[in-house]
Amino acid sequence: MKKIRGLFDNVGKHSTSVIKHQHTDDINIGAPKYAYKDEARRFTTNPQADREAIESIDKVFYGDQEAINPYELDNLPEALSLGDVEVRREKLRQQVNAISKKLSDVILENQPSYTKELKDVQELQRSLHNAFIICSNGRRFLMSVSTRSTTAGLKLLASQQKRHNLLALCTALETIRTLQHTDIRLREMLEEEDYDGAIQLCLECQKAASTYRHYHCIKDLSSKLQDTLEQIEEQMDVALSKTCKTFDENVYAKLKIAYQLLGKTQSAMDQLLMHYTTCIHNTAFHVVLGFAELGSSKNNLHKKQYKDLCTHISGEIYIPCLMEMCKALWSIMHCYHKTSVWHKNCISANGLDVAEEVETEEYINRKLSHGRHRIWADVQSRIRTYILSCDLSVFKYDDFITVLDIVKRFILVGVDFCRNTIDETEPQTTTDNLNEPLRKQTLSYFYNHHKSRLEELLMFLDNEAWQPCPVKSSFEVLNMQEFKFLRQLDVDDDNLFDNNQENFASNLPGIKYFDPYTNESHPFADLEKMSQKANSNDIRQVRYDSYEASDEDDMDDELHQEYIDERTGESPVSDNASKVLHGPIMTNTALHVLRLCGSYLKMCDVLKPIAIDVVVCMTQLFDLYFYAVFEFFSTSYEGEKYRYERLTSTIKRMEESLFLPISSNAENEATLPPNSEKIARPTLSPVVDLNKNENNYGIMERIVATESLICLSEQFQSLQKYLELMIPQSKKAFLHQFYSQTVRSSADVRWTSYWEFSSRCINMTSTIEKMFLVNWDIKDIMSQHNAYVDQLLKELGTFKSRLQQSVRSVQMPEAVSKVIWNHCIRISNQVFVEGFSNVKKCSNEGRALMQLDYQQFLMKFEKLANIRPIPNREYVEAYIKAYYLTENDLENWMRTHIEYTPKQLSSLVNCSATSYSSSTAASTNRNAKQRMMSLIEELTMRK
Amino acid sequence: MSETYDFLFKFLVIGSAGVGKSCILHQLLENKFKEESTHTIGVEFGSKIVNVGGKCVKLQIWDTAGQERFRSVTRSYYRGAAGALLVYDTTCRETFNSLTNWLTDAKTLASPNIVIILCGNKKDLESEREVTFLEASRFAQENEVMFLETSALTGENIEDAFNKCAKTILTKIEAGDIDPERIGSGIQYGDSSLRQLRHTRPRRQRTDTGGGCC
Repeated sequence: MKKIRGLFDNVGKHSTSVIKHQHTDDINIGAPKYAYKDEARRFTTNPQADREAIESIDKVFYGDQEAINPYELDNLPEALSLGDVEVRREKLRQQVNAISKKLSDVILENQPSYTKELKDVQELQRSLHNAFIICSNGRRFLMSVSTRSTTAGLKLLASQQKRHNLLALCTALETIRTLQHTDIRLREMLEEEDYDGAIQLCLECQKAASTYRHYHCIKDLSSKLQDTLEQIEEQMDVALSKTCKTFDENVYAKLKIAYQLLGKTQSAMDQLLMHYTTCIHNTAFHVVLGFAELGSSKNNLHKKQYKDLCTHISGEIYIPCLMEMCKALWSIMHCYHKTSVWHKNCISANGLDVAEEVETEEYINRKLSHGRHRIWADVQSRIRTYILSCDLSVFKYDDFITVLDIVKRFILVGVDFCRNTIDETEPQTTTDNLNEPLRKQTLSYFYNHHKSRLEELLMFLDNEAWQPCPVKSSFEVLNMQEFKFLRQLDVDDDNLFDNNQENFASNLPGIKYFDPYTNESHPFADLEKMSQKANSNDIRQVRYDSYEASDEDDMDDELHQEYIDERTGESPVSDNASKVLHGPIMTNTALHVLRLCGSYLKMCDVLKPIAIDVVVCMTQLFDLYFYAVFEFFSTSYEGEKYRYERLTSTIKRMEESLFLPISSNAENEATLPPNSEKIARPTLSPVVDLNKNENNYGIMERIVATESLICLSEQFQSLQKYLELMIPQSKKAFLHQFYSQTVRSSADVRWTSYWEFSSRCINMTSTIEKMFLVNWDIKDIMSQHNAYVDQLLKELGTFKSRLQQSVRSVQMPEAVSKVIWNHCIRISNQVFVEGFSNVKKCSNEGRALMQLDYQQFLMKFEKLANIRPIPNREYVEAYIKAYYLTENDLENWMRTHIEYTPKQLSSLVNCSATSYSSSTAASTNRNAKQRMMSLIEELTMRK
Repeated sequence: MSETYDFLFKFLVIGSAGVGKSCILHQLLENKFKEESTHTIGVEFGSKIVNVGGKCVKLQIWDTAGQERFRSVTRSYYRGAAGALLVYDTTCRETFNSLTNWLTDAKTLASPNIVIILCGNKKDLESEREVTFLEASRFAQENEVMFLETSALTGENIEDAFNKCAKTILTKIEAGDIDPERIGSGIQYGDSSLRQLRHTRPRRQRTDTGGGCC
């Protein structure tokens, strides 16, 4: 209603604007205007009045219909008048007219809109109709569908859809299940050592797990896979550590690929080196532990330190244990070697083209080649500790040599192992760790050994009967069993040289002691064979077996030959005692010295660093023999002082270096340090008696002893070149001194040891007495020599036959008889001078007789002794001729000839003086005599 | 070095060449058979300390060459021997036949009280045996020497031979049959503190040290 009112309100105000609007908006509204005109004819058109009429309409009329009717009635005044009602009715009529007019105006005004809307409505009606038709069609179709298809069909479709989804889920679950099962598979692969496969699988699993991570059940799996991966790595580490003990190319290749997958190739290398170190330590420990448990009942051994454990290895198992350890450590080194060779081949074989990979390989190779030194140092330290832990000095010689051999071989192995890896370090330093303890042990062992050998030699000397020990005439020290190795050494040297050349050609590490060996064999096999025969003296012989088979022991062969001869009676003299020995004269003890020298030289050979000590000790063996021979058989020797002095200084040196000081009481000796290297002095066996006339004052023993010494010195000389090879250059002076002063002076012993025999066999006094009885104060020149000369010659003849008779079992060397006859002539000369000096009165003719006698003696003696020219004849001749000298000349002569005794000189002066007396005054004669006597005294004092 | 013993006995091993004297000694000292053996040249030496009847006895054993040509050398070692192993080869009659000569040599050259044990070596070669046990033991009885059959290869009776010999000597000393102080008895008293003295002047010291030991 308000709207309507609004419309009415707007009629008057906006009519123009509305019309205007009509003109602009719709041009088709013309027609209804005419209809409105029809209406206007009935009512006067007065818009003003109309508007007023409308405005005057009570509000009530706009309200409820029901309220209107009563309103008019209610408003009727109390006093009803027709006029009033008429007025009122007119007014209302006007109002109705105005409203009607207005209404028709509005209707006319909206006629075009109406028609237009009507058209729209009709259109809508048509659409609705169409829609109705479509709907009814659809319904009809639906009706037909619902009749034709069932609900089950639709359900099937729904299920199909569901199935699709479930299948997808199922695959996912399947994968998850596989993932979870992978764990077992991984384990299997690890057992199969298929590390790279396992890692690949594991990595794939991880990837898969991450795609399915929206599943709740998979959450733990990825962390579990990470664990597994770590586990794999651990397993690989274990496998890697196993390659230290047994290197298998396949396993190692797998491991390498696996590490590559993990991207840990380089760290794996560091790890590997660490494993090797651990392995070396563990292996050494377990080897020693194993052996220690064998030898000891203690249970807590495994808790001990390696070093302590080593001290539990007893002597009998020391060598097997060392052997085992060397073998085990070698096999570790062998694995290392194989590893590095494998890597080398890897580069060359694969021809890697990725720069990064090449770099990695180079890194590995560098690392491995540096590692060799570390490995070797570790290995050395293990063996070193082992070697130093035991006191080897109580070992038997051959056992000790075996130890040396093993360690020496091991050093060679080590040198080979480290060959050409670090150029800067000297080769010496690589093995010092082992050489040093070896040297130390060897020295201590050797000195111990030497001391007991010296004592043994002393016992041999104490028991030596100085009988000739028959040896082949071409006896040569190098033919002795003990010296065989020297000949072997020459061969070895050649081999060594060859090897060196070979090695220069391809100076690769491990070429000698690693490459030629497989897992089953090892470079100690030959030594092991020997050590299994441990405690046997034949160890060394086994080693030289092959050489002996082809090269017969000449000496023994010879001995055997002679033995057979004796048995078959071919030997011309069956009585051995009278058989003359043609070979060099040796004693049992001298042979023993040579045997010892042989074993000493072997020590030199095995360990060069102590060679000089060994050689020094060897010279002590010679010294001891020398000393014994000298001490037993020598007597102070007057003639040729220089020889004797040279000898005594040599002997003095030996005494100081070899023997305990002579002490008067027992306590002193007891307080000597027990490890003193000095020994007691040798004593002559009671079997030998040098003072009996019946056995010619032991001439036989003297000859055997002295000649054996000389023979020994000859043998030593033939060893000189070997000794020089063995000792360092700087120590050669010692050797030269030994040879020039000791070995060569052994010939001098002949002079001292035969002297006693000669001097005791020849009776000087009887001849001197006979000479005293001769009248030298004669006036005629005699043509016949005196009888005492014949007596002396006869005595010498007896001596000669006595000498020949007593020396039956050996052939007396030329040099010996020369020395003995030298002694004889010396003694005879003394007899002559002494005899002549006893002469109180002598004429010129008497002096001539003396010369005649001496000439006669010399002539006969030459024939007897078969030596020419006769030495020392001037001694007698000068004494005889001095008689003819003038006073002054005699004085000078006495000053220069100090070899005569004062008694001999004064006798000469007396004789001469008597001869002077004939020509000069007695007083001057007496003066001259006195002056010369005081000169003699002076000369004596000076002596 | 500090070896102590109550007595030192000088022993000889004698017998013809090739009967195995050196092997017996080697077996005694090393408990091993000497595989490769050459003829002994002159005399070789070995020593061992054995325990006999509660006493420590050092055996100073001289292993002599059996070959005839060395007889003059080996004879010089006979003197002053307290005991001797007279060895023959059970597989070689000739070595058995020459026993008489060896026995005479030993009795004349060594100490008259020398204790001799006869050893028939190479017992292990039973198939090649030429000398029966009975025959040899009869010989031993006649000559009043002890008798054992030995094998240096297996070591059978080797130690026993030496021990038996040493024991007899000890018994004789205790019974007063042998006077250890007599020169040339082949016996020395051993005592670590006195040993050195003896080495300096063994023969003169013997009478001085004799009383104070044991």
